[in-house]
Amino acid sequence: MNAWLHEIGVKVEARWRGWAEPMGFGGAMLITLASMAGHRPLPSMAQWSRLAAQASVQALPIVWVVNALVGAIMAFVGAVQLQKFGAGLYVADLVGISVCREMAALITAVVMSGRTAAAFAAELATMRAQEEIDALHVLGLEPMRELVVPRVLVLLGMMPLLFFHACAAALLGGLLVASLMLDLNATIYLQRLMVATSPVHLWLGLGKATVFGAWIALAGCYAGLHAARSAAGVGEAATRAVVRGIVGVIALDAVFAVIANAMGW
Amino acid sequence: MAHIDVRDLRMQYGDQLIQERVSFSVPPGCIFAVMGGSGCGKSTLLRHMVGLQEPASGDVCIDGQGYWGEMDAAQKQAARQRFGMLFQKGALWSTLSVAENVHVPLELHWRDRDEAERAQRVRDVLEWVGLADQADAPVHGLSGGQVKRAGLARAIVAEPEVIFLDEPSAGLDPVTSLRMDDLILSLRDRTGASVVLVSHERDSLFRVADDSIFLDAESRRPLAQGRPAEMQHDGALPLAVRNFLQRKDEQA
Repeated sequence: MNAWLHEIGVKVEARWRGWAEPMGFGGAMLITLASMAGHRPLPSMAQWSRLAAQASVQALPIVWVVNALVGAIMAFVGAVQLQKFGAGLYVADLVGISVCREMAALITAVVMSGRTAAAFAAELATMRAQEEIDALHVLGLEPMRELVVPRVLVLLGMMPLLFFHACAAALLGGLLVASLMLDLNATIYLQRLMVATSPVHLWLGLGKATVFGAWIALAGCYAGLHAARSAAGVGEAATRAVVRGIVGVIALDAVFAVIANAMGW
Repeated sequence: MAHIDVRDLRMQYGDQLIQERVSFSVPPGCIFAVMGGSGCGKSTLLRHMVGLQEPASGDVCIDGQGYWGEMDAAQKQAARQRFGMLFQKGALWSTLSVAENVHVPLELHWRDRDEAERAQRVRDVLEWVGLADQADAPVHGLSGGQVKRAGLARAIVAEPEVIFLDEPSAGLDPVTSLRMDDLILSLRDRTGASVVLVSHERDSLFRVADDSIFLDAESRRPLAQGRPAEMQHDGALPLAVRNFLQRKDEQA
């Protein structure tokens, strides 16, 4: 019985460490960021561009497709229910508020967890396996400063842009369904959108997207820098980054919901 | 120039002992070889010496001061700036070009020089290792020998006092391997730097090493120390060392 309890305790502690250590990693990243005034990290301009493209332009098609489909699905489900009460017009309210406030940031973050967090993890894990991280240490360069901070900054900068694209895609998807199912024209749809959504919804969504971006970058980098030095380690790091990225994003979204409710937003 | 003393080092991975009672000295200008068969802990010893891995006990002293036991973080950072290292697989940063890889140490250690001087130094070093025409090439397009030479260029560009080379000739054809030996000898002669090299390439060891230590995988202790070319004919040495130096046992 005691051994069994001990085993459970050890497993729980290991699980907790698996989540607590990335948070400490985030704190270390902030301290490093604060100490970086005047220091140019390792990536050249070309590398910054590559990182930025990886986290933005290259992700745009999938962000557009997924969010347009989510907007369309929400409009479809909403239209079916609202039509029963003769309130089909309000499908624009439903789509507008849920997309701007919740779904655009959440869905984009999930897509980026599967795409960019995994890519960051795989790249850094490969660098670790190839001793490139050790080469930084020997020179006295900190991986946190040279590799993690640039990736977090890039995703912090790009997630808000992706959020606006996601909103546009989802609202267009909603418009398409509304016009096909409810014969709602674009002018009325947009008018209802303007009435129903307020800047608070957009700011809330934007804030979430930014925080999610930082989490996704940290989850990817942490998994990559703590990977086993092998090909299998690269795969495991990518998987871990995606799982931590998605679960973390959903947990953060719940925190945002509680805060927004408490603040009356 | 730095004087390195390895004092009674005990190396472990978790509970698994790798080597113990490892002690030797590397005076300035010496080419010191760490020899032994596969899995005896040669590369691990190098990782302890360059500050990548803390030993279970013992210390690595640089000019008399223990890296692990006596230096604070700033002193360790300063000590590492006196080192250059060529990793076994080259460990070039894959997102940078060859010239950018070689330039990075200068950004750290030649801050007081202007950019034109740094760029000229990169060109000179790449010329010296025979990679001037590959300066702007991405590193993934290089051959194994070119990766090793680019890694060597990065290791020496900031004129370190001690250069650590992990299997510099491994995987190279005999001609390229010979060229790598020439580069190591010429490097020592030109700069006066000490070189610590890990290798099990017997011919290369005989050509370049002034002094060496033999790590035994079985007893997990050093078995012999001396100049490899002289040790080869020393009948008093343990059998494992003689087998290794005379290549009688394929396992050695």
